[in-house]
Amino acid sequence: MAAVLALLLAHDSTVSSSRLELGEREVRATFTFSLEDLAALARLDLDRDGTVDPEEWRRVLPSIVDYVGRKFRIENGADLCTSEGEPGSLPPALSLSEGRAPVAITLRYRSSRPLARLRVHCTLFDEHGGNPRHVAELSGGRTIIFDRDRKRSEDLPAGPAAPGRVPKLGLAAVAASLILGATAFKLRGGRAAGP
Amino acid sequence: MKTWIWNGAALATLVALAFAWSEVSGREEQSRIAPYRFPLSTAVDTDADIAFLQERVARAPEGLDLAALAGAFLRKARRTGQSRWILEAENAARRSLETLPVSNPGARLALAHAAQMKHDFARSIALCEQVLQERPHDARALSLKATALWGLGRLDDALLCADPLVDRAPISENLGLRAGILAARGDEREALHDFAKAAALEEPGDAEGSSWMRALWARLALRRGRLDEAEDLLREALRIRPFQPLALGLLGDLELGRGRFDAAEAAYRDAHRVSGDPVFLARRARVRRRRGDAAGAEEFRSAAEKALRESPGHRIPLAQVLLERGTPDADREALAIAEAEATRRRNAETLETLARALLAADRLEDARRAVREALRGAAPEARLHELAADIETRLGCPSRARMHRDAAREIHP
Repeated sequence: MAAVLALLLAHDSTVSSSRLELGEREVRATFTFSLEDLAALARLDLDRDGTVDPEEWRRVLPSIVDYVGRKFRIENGADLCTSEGEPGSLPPALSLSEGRAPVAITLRYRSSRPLARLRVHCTLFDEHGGNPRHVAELSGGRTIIFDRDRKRSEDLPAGPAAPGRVPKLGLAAVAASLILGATAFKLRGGRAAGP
Repeated sequence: MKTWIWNGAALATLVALAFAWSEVSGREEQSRIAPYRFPLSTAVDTDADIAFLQERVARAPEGLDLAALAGAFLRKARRTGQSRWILEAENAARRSLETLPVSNPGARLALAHAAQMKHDFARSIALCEQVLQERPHDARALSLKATALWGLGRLDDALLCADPLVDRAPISENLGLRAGILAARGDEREALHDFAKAAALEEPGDAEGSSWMRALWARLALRRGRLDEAEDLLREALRIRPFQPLALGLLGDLELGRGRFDAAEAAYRDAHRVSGDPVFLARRARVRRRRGDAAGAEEFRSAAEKALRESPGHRIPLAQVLLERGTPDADREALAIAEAEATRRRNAETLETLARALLAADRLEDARRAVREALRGAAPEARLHELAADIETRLGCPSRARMHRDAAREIHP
């Protein structure tokens, strides 16, 4: 199918995304990058066995977190939030052959004051060619797309975080089963207490 | 004791667990329709071939080595989706032809392949024909030419190239190519036959191709409203290659059609991340619009428009995004783009966009002509019949509008 594959246009632009969850005084940002974009930032496969294993992630992650913190900044009013990696979270082992594999990296941006109006600055991967794009999604549903011409957002009101994804149908069924169980227990208790 | 209540509670818990499990865990089972029978590749793709050939070329720039290097760069472009590797391939192929101007089909076909990856189909065909003059049965030249003709919407000519390929070598790759062309023509029965045969004959070693073949097959099923079949094929395509953009995009279309907006957005988001193709930003705008999120839709639509303007091979998707903006200036620009593209490429997508732009410009007779040409030349699509129905309604022909609406329902119940 080599010929058919040529029908797909090649693109040079790097694409990354993030999901920003707003708390009282901090923003939890979960970034998703392609493995090959991270591989262009730092040597990931230190032992050259073709796989980036957890130990290699542990060693290279600080430099990646530092890069992301410098290139993706959040201001809370006049206060620049300090960024740090989320302790204990490491990407899984990944084969370098899967250059398009997503890698999730979480940073926490802390402010000394309660979050009020945020402004995001993004220049991620601007040292790469093309026009790198970053799609940032706030927990309230707001989306901002950054590129070379749009390196910072307008002021964003800091609203409460939306709940995370839950298996709604599954939870509904569990709730139904609990109600049924409670009813059965009550009926049984009523009979036991009866004459 | 009300044992039925206890039984009901236990059953509901089991159902709950099953649903919860299915939602939090990915489906990993094999396809029912076209299972991939080989172990999924864990081989490490390295640039060893490129390094090896570059070293040889640095020592002695032989024409054949340079042609092989061009082929290695094209494989890299295909694997990464990055266009800079196409430029490297073109440079190597040109140097190869300077060193070895005759009997060098590899370099000429590398240039043809590169032109095709940049959607310069006319140039690709011209280069393939140069090779076919010397070697009329060259399988790679025929295959590339068939694909370029398919890209231009010249489906009859594409089939004339694909038929001898399959006759001479009925292998999975050639069958998959012909199936794709047959599907684009609307020859569904023949396309399904070739897809099934291509799946039955496939061999290990081309996981990317196997995944793409299933995605093309799924596109046909999706077009005909066979959603379960399409989903089965797409899941299999993504099991083989988890980051295959066509399959991810089609999965987004499938989920959008089912009204599962979160799943559709997730699929489009992944498709955009792995391919960088701004078309998927436009699709996310569509999801946001369906959700009633006007601000989100505008954010994605304007980002898509900007990115499409930067991408020269994307004129028709740009026209589509402009039509979605719907201002008089945008409609005028969309019409100019669609008219210019239609002089080069008269495939169904171009003609549909032209018809929509003509409709927006109130040129109803011209819009009718364009949509009729699209309906004549390509696979029957419910969307095209719905557009034809809108045009006929505006032209005051309710019976024809009804006919097209019935046809749309028949294709996609």
